[in-house]
Amino acid sequence: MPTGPAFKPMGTLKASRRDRYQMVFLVAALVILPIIFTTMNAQYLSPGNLDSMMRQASVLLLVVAAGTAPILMGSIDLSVGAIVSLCAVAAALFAQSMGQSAVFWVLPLGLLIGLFNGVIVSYIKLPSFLVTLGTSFVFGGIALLASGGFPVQLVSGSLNAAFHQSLFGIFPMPLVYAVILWLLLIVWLRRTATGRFIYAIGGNERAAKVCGVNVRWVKSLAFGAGGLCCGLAGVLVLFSTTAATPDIGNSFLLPSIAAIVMGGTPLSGGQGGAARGLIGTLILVELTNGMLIIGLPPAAQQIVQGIVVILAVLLTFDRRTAAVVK
Amino acid sequence: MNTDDSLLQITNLTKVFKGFKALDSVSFDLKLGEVVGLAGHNGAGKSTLLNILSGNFAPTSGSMTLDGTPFQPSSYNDSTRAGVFRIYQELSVMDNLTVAENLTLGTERHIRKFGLITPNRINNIAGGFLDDVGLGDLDATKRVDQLTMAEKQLVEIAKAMYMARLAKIEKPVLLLDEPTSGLTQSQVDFLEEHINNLRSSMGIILTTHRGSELLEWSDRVVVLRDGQVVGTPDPKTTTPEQLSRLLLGDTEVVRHTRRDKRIDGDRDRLELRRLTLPSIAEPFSMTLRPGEIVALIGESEEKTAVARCVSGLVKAKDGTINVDGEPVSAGVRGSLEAGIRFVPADRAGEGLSLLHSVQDNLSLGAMAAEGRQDLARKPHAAKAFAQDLVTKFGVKVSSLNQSAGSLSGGNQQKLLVARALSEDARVVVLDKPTRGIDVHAKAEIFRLVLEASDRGVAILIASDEPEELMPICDRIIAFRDGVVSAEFDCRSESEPTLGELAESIS
Repeated sequence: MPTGPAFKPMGTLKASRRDRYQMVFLVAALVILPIIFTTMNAQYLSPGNLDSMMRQASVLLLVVAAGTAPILMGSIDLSVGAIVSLCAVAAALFAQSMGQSAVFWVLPLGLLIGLFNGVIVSYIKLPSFLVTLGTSFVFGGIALLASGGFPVQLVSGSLNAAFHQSLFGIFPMPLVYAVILWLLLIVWLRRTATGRFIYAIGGNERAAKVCGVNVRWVKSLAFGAGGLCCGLAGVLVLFSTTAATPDIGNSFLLPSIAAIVMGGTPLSGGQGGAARGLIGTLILVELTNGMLIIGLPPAAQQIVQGIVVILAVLLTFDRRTAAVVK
Repeated sequence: MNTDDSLLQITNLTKVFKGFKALDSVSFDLKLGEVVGLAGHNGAGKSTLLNILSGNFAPTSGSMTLDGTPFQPSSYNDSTRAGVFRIYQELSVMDNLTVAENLTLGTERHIRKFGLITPNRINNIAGGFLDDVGLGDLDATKRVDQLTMAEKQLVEIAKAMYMARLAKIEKPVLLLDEPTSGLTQSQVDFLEEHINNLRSSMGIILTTHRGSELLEWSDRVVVLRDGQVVGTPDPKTTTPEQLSRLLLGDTEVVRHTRRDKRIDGDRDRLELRRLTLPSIAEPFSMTLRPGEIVALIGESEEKTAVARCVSGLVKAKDGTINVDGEPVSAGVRGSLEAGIRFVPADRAGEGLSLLHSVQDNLSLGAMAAEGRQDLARKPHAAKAFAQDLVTKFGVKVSSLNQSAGSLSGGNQQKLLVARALSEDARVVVLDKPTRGIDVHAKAEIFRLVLEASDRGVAILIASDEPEELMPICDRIIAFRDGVVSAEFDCRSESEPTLGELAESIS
């Protein structure tokens, strides 16, 4: 008779019973929140507000995607917000000097920044928590230096239309771009050897090494992929605000981790996935937008958001099988 | 059965799980000063019995008395309070604390002075206690991570005795669950000697996979099969072979003998040339021909060092490794590309991702070692691949989606062996492949190894249990004190006796 902790079959797409029961809660929250907010303010479900929610969701979804790959390995990237800031500032500066279409250079820039994190973590062997906490200050500082401390305006150009239009008149283009990259990330994690290695590292890094997985390189790539997502998030946030401040992405860090965990990707790694981040993202966007629209004071909004994050973890964290909680 | 002087009396104990009888009217008793050996392969009911005794499970029916009073523990703490202490196979001593700190952990209210606890006081109390019970050679101030596995076992036992003393329990019962798993022979002897010194004041129930040990340590042996007591052989007159026949029942004892297989030609499959390793005093060289099975034995870490070096996990300071005449490049990837596959000793730590499914664990190997990218792209290909291996190697799983952590130790090991013995394998290195698995699983592993050797795979095994490997090995290389002390040819008429093997390493 197995007496140890019950291991769930994971890493397969098959949901266990507990997963399904979590899903019920999450979907219920997704449906109930709009009902509550609409009864308090009928504007909540107006086309205008829906559009703005989807635009908010597009950036958060990318930051959630960015954080997922490191978390699947049992690592964490705390610099995602700072990378978004730096990429937004860089995109605005690139646009000023080379024209608007140069904003896309921040995608490879984001990739390199992410790889930089990954290389420090895996080749120099330092804990990702501390490395990315440190680099978040470094990247934030660079963004501050580059911007001179002031918002950097986005020069207008031909791309404006591509970001302000909507697909079928419903889905704002930023959301479409975000979803495309998010889907690519899901495929990468689920259907390529590198993606499977990321899960394997999260399950047992030493076993992955014995199997011949190039652990250090795969780890670097996972952080790099996160950086790439942050790069696009930086572009989207720049187009939505038309000016980049050096702290523009910082506020996304905590909600992104909350959305990942809410979706059922535990910080211990090896389980869950990018697909699951969507539902957490949507709940958080519904909540933040709703609190705004019913006119909750900003201080109260913060308190509610914090409590909701803890409640979400309470629902999704499997406390029965976690022998030790740290 | 004399019930008057028995310390623990177990009567008609039955435990049913969802219609499955894990224990079926088991009765026996344990007297003060006695060691009762519990024998049985995995699933025979040993763990269930220990779990009932330690309060983890409640029996479906039957009764127990401890020192004459009814004993019905409802939790681990409950059984501890009554004086039954279970020493788990996975030790629960804390490596980062000293012996004294481990010993007194959880008993702080007995040792506080003015509400404070000082290291000095802990050390004095623990040191005094250890001297008192005859474990004075354990240094109370030493950190536990500096102890050997056998000493850690003793710390666990001492802790149980200390708690018994605080609770004023004069005659504790100790449940030792696989205490020798992972110990070298000299550590086993060390442990046995100490337990013999301690046993007069307690009763001990012991389980171990090693039959000879069980017979040597126990005053009486209780053999369980399918939840029933099938015999209580006298350990003094029973041989390990008789015991293992009793354990298996009617099942055929799978016994392989070396076939007169022709080892292919004169060319070498694996050649180790003057490997310089930290634990080996002089450069180590050896060759393996295709299909040859060689075991490395020894008390300390030389054998494992060689195995890990060949696998690419440990870099030799000097020397070369060749496979089929080609030099093997450094690192795990270099070894894999040369066709070397490795089965690590630490199944949970280095072998499998316990959280992930059987299928994921199997396909991981092929994806990483053989570049089977298609297994990631096409889930049905990965499924077919895993199903094929599971069938071919007889891994018992309920589903390919079952997590590796839910398999028995023997099946986990088969999973690892299945992954290692792929088509591309030219050399397979196994580090302590039979550690902690039952006789059935051992026989299966040996069968798989022999089949691979028939295909021409060269097999190198680092082993703690050479006597078990004897029937399948072609050669045995023994290490002692960092040098090769003997080499035995098991194919010739002069095959070594167990005595010769034991002598070569101690």
